[in-house]
Amino acid sequence: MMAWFSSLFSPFIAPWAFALLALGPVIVLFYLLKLKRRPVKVPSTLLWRRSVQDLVANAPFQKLRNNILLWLQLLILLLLVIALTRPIFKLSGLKGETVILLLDQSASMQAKDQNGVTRFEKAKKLALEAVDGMSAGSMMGALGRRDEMMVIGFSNNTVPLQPMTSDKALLRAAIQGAEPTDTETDMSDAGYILQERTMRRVENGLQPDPDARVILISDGGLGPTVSSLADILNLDYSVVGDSSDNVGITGIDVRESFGGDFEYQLFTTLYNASDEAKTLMVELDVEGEVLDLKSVQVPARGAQPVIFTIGESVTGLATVKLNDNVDSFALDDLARANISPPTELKTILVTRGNSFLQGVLSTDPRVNLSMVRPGSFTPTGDADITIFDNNTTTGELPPGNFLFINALPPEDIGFRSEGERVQRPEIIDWNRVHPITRYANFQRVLIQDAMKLESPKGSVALIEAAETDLVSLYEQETRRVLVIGFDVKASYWPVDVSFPIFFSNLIDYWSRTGRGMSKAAYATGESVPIVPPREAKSAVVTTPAGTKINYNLEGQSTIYLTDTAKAGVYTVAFDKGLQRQIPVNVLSALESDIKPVNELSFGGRKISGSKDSVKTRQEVWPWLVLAALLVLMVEWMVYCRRTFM
Amino acid sequence: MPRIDPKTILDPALMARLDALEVLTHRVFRGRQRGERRSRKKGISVEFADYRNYVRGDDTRFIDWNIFARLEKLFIKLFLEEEDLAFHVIVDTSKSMDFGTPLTKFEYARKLAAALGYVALRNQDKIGVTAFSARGDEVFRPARGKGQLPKLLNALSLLEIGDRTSLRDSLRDFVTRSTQPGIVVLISDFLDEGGFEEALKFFFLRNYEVYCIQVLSPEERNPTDVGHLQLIDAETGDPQEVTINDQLLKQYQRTVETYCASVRDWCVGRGMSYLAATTDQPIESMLLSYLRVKGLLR
Repeated sequence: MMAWFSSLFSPFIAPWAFALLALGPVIVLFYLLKLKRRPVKVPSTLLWRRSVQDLVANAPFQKLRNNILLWLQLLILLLLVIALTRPIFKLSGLKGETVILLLDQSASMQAKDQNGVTRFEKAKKLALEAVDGMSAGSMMGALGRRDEMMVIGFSNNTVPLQPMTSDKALLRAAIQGAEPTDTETDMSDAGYILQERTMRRVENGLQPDPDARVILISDGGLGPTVSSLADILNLDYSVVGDSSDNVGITGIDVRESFGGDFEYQLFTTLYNASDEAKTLMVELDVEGEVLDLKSVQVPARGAQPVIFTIGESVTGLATVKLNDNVDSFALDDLARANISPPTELKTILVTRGNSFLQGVLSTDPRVNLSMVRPGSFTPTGDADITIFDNNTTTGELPPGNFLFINALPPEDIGFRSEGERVQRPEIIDWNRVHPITRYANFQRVLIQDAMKLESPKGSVALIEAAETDLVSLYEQETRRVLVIGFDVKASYWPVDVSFPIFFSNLIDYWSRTGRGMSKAAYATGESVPIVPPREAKSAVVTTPAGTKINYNLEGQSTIYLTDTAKAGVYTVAFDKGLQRQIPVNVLSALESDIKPVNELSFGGRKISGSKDSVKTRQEVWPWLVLAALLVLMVEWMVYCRRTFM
Repeated sequence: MPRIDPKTILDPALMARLDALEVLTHRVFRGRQRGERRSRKKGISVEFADYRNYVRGDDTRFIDWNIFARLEKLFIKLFLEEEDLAFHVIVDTSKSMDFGTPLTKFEYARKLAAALGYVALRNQDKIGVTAFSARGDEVFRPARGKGQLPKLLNALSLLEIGDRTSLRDSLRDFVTRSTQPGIVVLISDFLDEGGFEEALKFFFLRNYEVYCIQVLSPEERNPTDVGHLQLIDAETGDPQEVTINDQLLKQYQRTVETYCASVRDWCVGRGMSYLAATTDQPIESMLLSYLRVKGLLR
């Protein structure tokens, strides 16, 4: 009985105010106690009656007139009473509503739309509206519990900005304090949190809870990870943003040229998110000096690569800018990359003779190659790269880069090979993003046989056959060991185009790690490995925002800079006075494509977004009070026009 | 209502001015006695009317011998017979008449009746006064001669505001009782629940020359009381609650005008004379100018 009574009043925050309906009979009573009138004797009321009838005949709603004031006053009372009960539009259950608010903090949310406000500011405003729409619970407490909300910000990772609470002040502070990042969207973590919060435990696992409600505020550039929302039944999507006018740099890299002359090539990719082709000037400067300017046409909703060639003597921080590019999203109009000075790598090839290796290494201008016969050689640590071709060494490896071909490194490194060799191993996969194996296709490489290689824990398999790892990289504190588990001479690899690419990549990688960096430029959100100089004991990283992060380098060969949410130049200062600059750019076609997505589609579902608004439980009492005021005005007008009762 | 002194009804100065007036009729009525009015009947008077052939038995004194001398035919000269005029004054004594300043409508009507009666008696016309009540009483039986004036004034002074009255019933009674045609002056406010049309139609049954004098008080024409009032009908006692504001006042004035105009149009359209009077209007000017203009007095 009590539950029925409670459910009856659940749409009202303060149902006690219905008690004030008792004032209705008071109004009726006032009508029963009519106006005190002065009696006046007149010769005849005939003409007065006619006058009044004439007036009434000319007045609208004459039939209602007899009681219209009474009804209007009762209506005012009803409106005010309902306003005092604080009804809400969206009816909720007795237990109060649980809302999870997902706030998109990815880079594209910094795009400015026509009104000059960033999408993130708009999203925050909507989020605050959602908080305002929360029920704060009734004054009586027993009927209706408070709504709860948690705020989750997501970009490349997911950050709970405010745990579940019904405290509006906390929620507001969390939303107001939220900042957009420069990173790409990845909703997978958010998916896990949502699953935990919006699933009901049933006998055999989890089931979506129809009561849990998720509000997603985003511009819709969510990428493939949006499918992690598939299990959310009660999802309200509020889309912000209206512009798609953007051309951005979505890729940048610097490679040493393979040509005879030593020079660099700087690759950039431009992406045009708008619906019309755009021609714009792309400027390259290095350390503030403009080196090149190109006019580039970027097709509508497509990408266009741009390549700059840079001379040998030019080193430093290169900046590619889209000149005079006035678009909605400024963050991707600039990208930076490091052009490192060329260093000669002292390379020792321990072999009984391998013309392929000899050939591929001697043509690389960075390699200072010397050949040693096996047996008599012991690594001393003064070489940058030591290559053991079909032979190995014993004893501890000194710091440096080592390549073992068809041979195992000393046992303490951890590589093992047991049993028979694998005959005609077939390459099934390779690491396409690793700096050593990228840009190469190993599909057509045929191998006679290979070791059954067991790589130590922490190693990275770069090329894999079904039965074994074929190429594996293991990086220790100061030593980087690469093992190729087969004889290159007993394979078609040397005659495949992937062979010189692989070695060029390898030398590039080791030359960069020698300089402390593995890539010329990084994307936001990516973790940046930093190899400190051997003698350095500590390092301070200054972020583009000016924040300093201290690192203790004792016993560490590589430190990882993970907080790269902001695009810009991160400066690493070591205690010996050495400095490195790490350029971090947005580099995401997903973020540069700022066209708002009005309908999310995943898992066979389509969810259309409400434009610039968030569905909340709106309290309607101000409207009711306003309506009461209007009715009061009408009542006054009727009273004034009225000449009889 | 206390009885008033009959002498105060008619002011001597007014009487002096009324001496010059006489009641005028536009039609010729048949009187019962030979009087001072022309009659349709041919008879003995000094006013020549027509000739007709002599037939045996005619009074030879009326043969026109001049004609006989010229035409050698006997013609009788006919003269208009003069008869007395029946003059009826009907005074509304309903309660609605008991209002108005400086005179009530009733007092005004009484003075008017007295003045008309004086004029009639002075001209040897027969005058009767009928009170306008539920019974349609005749307060002064038709009589003539100046000597009847004290009686008339006495009868008028005895007039009182009656009970609830009906215009229709009163006029029906009057018409039934008073069969002699003549001039009828009806003095009333015409504010009757039953309407005035049905009542006035009774006059058609007799060949009356009808004068309708509608007396209203200035307060009725232009009321000034505003506010929340309960108006009590003097005749029926029915209350009417009104909130009088400017808008209603204007509407009321329009209604009064419309009502008076409807009475006037109805009367004029049916050969009756209509005259509106307000109680603040001097009786003299009513008699000496308005009724003269209307042709009742000369």
